[in-house]
Amino acid sequence: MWRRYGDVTFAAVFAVVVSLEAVPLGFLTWTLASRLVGGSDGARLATILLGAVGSTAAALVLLTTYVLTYQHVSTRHERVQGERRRAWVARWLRVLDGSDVAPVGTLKPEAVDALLALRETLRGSDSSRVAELLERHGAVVTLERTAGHGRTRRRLDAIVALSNARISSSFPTLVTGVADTNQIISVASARAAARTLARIEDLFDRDRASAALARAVDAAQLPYGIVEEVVVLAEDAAQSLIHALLIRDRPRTSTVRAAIDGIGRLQLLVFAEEVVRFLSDPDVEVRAAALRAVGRLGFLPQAAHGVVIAALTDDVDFIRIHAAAAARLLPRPQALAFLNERLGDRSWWVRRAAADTLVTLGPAGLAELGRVVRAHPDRFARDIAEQALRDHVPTLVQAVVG
Amino acid sequence: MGGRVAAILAIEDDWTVRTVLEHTLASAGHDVDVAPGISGGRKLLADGKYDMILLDLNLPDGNGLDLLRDIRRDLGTAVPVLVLTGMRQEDAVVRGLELGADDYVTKPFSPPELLARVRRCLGR
Repeated sequence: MWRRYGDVTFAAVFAVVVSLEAVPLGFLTWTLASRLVGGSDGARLATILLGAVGSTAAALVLLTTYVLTYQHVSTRHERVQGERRRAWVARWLRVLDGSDVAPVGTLKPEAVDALLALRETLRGSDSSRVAELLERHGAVVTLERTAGHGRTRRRLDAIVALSNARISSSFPTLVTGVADTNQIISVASARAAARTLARIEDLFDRDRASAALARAVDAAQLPYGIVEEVVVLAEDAAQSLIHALLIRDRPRTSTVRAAIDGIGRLQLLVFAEEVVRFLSDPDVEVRAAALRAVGRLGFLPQAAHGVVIAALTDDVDFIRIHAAAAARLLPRPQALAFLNERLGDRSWWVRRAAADTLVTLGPAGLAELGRVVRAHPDRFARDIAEQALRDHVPTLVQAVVG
Repeated sequence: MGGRVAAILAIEDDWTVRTVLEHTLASAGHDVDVAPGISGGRKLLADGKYDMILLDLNLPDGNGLDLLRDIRRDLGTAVPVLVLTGMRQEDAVVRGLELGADDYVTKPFSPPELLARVRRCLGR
């Protein structure tokens, strides 16, 4: 592992190496310039040249020695730390089963690391007792304090530790961190808050916490991808968080998109009707997210058939791509007819999406692709249909195409 | 704890999980050997005789399902195998059960639940 420890030593070595290079080179340049105007003799130049070579060699030796020593020391340090953590895990397990007593006073860092590792590994009452131990020994308060102030790396380490601890009392600290002006801290806090939210079991507390996180995420203007990740990390609390994100007064478009994509990814059928509403959203990205979610949920009420059919001929290519995927939910004859049409789309991606969707329709879809390969007037449609068959059902191409 | 004492091999790469498995099973009176990966597990399987195997599916030197397939080919169904998987790995669980795993435990896990599943597998 390179450069996890020893910032000061690294800075000192770097300064010495640069000095050993820069100072002699400066002298050499000055002497050469003087010689050009006749102000320096050859013997002086040779001496300075020799000195420059010597100091370069010294710099290289210093650098190599530092790298090798660092590798040796850090490897040894990691091993010792690992052994201490393992010993603490074993001790905490004995504390949990009552065959040993808990230590008294402030815990050493490796003891806290061992508890955090156990919190990640165990479930049920043992996990709750690990959380109690973390709180009782003051580890949570220390981590919360470190997460709020100081250097970014220390703050990040503390936030990650709180994320592993997933203790509900830390939730307000993490939500405050989402508003931090340092975006690294803001993103890490949002992730940690989502993981902590997942462990809040009381439904009332969970809804309140979801509302607080939704407010913080929206106000911090976190990027779409991060909001979606936050939704997924919320696990069982995702439903409550998505609800809080969507019911906000005029939420940001990227927040709505992330919430809708989260619905699709987590297969939250409870939001199926809500997703359908967004199929007609004026924002094209939100419409695309709704089409993706409909495809993933596998739910399309009859009233929304027309919206998907209209989306198949939308001006925007990626809307037609997602509409082609969602078209499998239309009544079979309609799906076959509209997807057949899209095989002749001007965009290769739409043609490919239509062909892939036909494959998912089973024998009827495969037969349709076979007919397209044999008789479609458009060469591009014939090509994409044949390609999809070769990719998905290579052994059936001959039988399907005839 | 009750139930019979068994020789159990746990193949798991995460040291915390390994330590928990070792502690939980040993405290129930079982003899436990642990291996951090497939190659270590194969070595122990070649040298020793085990009544049960706990097998993680995501190992650093390969897929636990491949080892499971080999165990079923070489040892038949006499040795029960309990598969350890992460959350949201339904596909891997299904594949493991199809390949002959007797049961599965998802991580994070509860030690009493693990012991109950081990007892049930050993009792078959």
